[in-house]
Amino acid sequence: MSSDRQINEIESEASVQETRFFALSPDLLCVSGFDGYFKQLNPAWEKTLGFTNSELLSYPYLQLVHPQDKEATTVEIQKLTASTQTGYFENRVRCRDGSYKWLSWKAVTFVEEQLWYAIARDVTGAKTAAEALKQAEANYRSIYENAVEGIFQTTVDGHYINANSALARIYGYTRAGELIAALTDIEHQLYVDPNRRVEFSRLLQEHETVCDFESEVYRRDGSIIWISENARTVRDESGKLLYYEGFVEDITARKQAEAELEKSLSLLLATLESTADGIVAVDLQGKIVSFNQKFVQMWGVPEAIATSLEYDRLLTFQMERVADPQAFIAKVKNLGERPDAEAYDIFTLKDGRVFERYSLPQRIGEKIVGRVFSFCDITERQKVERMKNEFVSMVSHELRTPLTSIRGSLSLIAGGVTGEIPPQAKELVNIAFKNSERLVLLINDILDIEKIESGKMDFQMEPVELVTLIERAIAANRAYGEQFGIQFQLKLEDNLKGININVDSHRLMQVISNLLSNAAKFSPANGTVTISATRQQKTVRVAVSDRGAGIPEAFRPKIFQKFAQADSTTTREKGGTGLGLSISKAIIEKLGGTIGFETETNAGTTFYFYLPQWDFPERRSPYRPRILICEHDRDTAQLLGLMLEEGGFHTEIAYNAARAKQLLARNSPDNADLPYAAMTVDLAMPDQDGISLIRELREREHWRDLPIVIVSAQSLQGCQEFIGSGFAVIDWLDKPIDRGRLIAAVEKAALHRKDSKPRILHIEDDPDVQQVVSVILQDVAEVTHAANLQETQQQLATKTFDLVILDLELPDGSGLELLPKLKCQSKKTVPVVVFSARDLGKDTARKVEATLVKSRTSNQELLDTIKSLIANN
Amino acid sequence: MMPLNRILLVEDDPDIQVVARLGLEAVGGFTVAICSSGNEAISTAANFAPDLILLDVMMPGMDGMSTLEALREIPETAQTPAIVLSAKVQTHEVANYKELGALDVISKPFDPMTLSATIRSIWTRHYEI
Repeated sequence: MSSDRQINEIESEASVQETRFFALSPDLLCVSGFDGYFKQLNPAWEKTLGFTNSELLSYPYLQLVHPQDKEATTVEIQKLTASTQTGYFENRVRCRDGSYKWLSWKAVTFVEEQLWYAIARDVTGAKTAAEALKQAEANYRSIYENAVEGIFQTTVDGHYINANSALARIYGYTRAGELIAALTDIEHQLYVDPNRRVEFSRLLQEHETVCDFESEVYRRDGSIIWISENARTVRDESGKLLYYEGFVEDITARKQAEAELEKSLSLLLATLESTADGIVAVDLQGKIVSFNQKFVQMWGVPEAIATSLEYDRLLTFQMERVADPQAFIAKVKNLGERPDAEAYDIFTLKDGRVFERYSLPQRIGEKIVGRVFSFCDITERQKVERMKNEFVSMVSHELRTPLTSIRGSLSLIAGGVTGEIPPQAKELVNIAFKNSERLVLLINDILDIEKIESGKMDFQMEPVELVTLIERAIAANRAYGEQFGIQFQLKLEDNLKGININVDSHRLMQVISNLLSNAAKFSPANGTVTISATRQQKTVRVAVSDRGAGIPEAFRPKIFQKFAQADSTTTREKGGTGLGLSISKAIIEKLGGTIGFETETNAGTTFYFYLPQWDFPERRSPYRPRILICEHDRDTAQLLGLMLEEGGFHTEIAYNAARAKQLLARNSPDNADLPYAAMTVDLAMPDQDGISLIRELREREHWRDLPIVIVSAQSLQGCQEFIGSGFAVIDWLDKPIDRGRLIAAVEKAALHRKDSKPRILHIEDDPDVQQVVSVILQDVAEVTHAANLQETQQQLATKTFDLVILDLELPDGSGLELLPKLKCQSKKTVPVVVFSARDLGKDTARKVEATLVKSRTSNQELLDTIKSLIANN
Repeated sequence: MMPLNRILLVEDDPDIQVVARLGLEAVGGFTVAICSSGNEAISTAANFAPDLILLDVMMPGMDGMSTLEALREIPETAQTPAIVLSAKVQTHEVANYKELGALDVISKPFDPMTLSATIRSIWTRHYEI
């Protein structure tokens, strides 16, 4: 073989090998032109990118580069083409499927041919792994940097190795780096008490971890905060302690709240102990939650009971000490059923002391969790009050007795009973008489003021006709007015006829008299005082006007004060006690009204008061069932009477059993048109206990079936004694009395009577028609009236009826509006008779039992219709 | 109507006795017996046989209401109407007198010039109907 040939062979052999190498290389080999196109590519390109080599050769290679890498790649290639150095760079190159592969390039230029030679390797796998790692690190970094808790690594000797932003923030630094640089001696720079760091280290070295390690530390600005640390030790493989790492939480707010709580708790405890009342708090499970020493002392609670915290044991103990254990426990049980009630009562202990008990539910948010009782020993207070009452009563008696003879003697002399007296003496006697009168008035007013201020003024409320009352007051004061030459002139609005007000007429007379006499006194001689009354909706206004000098401006704000008169000379000139208006104001307010005045200098003064109108038209109905109230406590009796009267009953009161029997005898079925429909009985009567009274009544033929409602504070006890005894006791009511329950019970009792009549509700605004219907039906039914929709609703809310007579045109709407309500009253269908001025449409007529037109219906027809409906129902 | 001529007044205060006697006898024209105590009233009642008893309440020894109770035991005064004459006339006190059998109550100080007229009008109200 010639050497050339050999050389050729060798060269050709090498060329084949190069070509084979080029073809088989897993790396991407290429020759690229400065013109931006690949010139030659090995098959690895096709495998890696998915394009055919001819496709790749036809693209400008930069077009394959990822847009984000294009600029960098351009720079790299420029650098490459400008030197002979090998260039290294990485970029992402597009695949046929649109994805990108990371390629790592090594390239070198062959300037003469305007070419560069390169080996590229697919590094996508490695790149992706690195990216993932970077991402993961970024995630942890984010957690680390954004954590709410401070995170730290510190050396054992007190340097920071690492700290996050939260820690920097907690300690008042803007960045972690600043913190790390500033704090080089944690023990002394950070901890308020350096021993805490020593302790922290000791605990860590002993236990490897510490939890909830609380310390006070300084922030950068010197302020002090509370932190809680959770930390662990980090050791190398040989066990050598490298550093501590852990979390820091700022617990200043919590510490402050704890301190506040402790402060209020201590304040509460101090209050509890310093109060004069005995206090005990009980939860709903019957545990004593808290009590004060005063409570233990006043009750003499043995320590064993107090410390047992069992409410049942305490109650048993209390019951042993009180005079009326049943009433005491009844109240407690009652409260058990009404956990949201506020309660107040007074009871006596066996040793004679009197305790006031007040209790309120204990709530957490809206939820009731228990009850707090407070006990106050009011023995002394009651004694003083009783003494004061006795004193006032005595003083008034002692003053009145001598006044009786002084005033009486003067009156007799002035009246000429003792014969003629010289004119000068007569004048003096008149002066003495007038002043003794004033003294009487003063005593009366002082007594009234005392009663008002102690809340003991009694009010006997009853509906009275306004106009009649005003006329009576004018008549009573006419003579007084004439002394001053004053005429009283009455001006009434037309719509006042028949209007009632619910008042104590004696007290209201007192007010009107006071206003009239004031007006008379302050009027110019021979003047006129005008009394006017007007009505606005449900309110009446009564005004008394004089044409006097008016009330001086400076005095106006004080006009209703006690002993207030414009100046002291007034008292001398005009008389009076200076108490009248103050008393009048108190009375009007007690009667549910308001009082005021208008005044103009030199033109006159008007005093006026407003009172609510009273309108229960069924009061005028002749058929109010009569109820006997047998009740020893006057206030309760009055209250019962008032409630029942409002509920449509006629009531009579007996304050003791003897009186009850007397009234019953007088109203026995034999000699009374209207015997009692029912009776309420208090078990604690002064002269005979209620139970024996009931037994006695049951033995008499007349009263055997009289329905009885027991109203008593002891009814719980009573119940136990009575059940099974066979007495026709209809119902039991606890004191305090619930109005709705009372009326329902008496209602039921009254209906219980065998001879009770069916009840008819007559809805009608014309009083004359009401009257006529009452008369027509008086023998067959008991008629209650309602004059409008509102009254009807009230009636239906408290009573049940057997039949309804309905007028359609009512002042506040159409009677038809009531039909749905009437039809579903007490789940049974109430027959309705429309008795109206006009005919009904067919559809409506079908909804009622009968339709009668007023002008076309005879009395007999009405009676027959009602009778037949009652009989059928 | 029942006749009203004879009045038994029970009153411990001698001054008031004088004033009341003038009011009842000179002004009113009644026949009056005056007793200073409950006991005296009890011993006088049967002989005097009054048409009406006028009673003070606050008296030493037997008070007015006990006196009335005792007078009810005497046949001559068992049914005799009684009017209370008292300085203690608060609402509950008045109610109490009436409950214990008083026909009505006249408050002290009373005017002797109108006392008899007041008594007559009470009498009329109760017995005319």
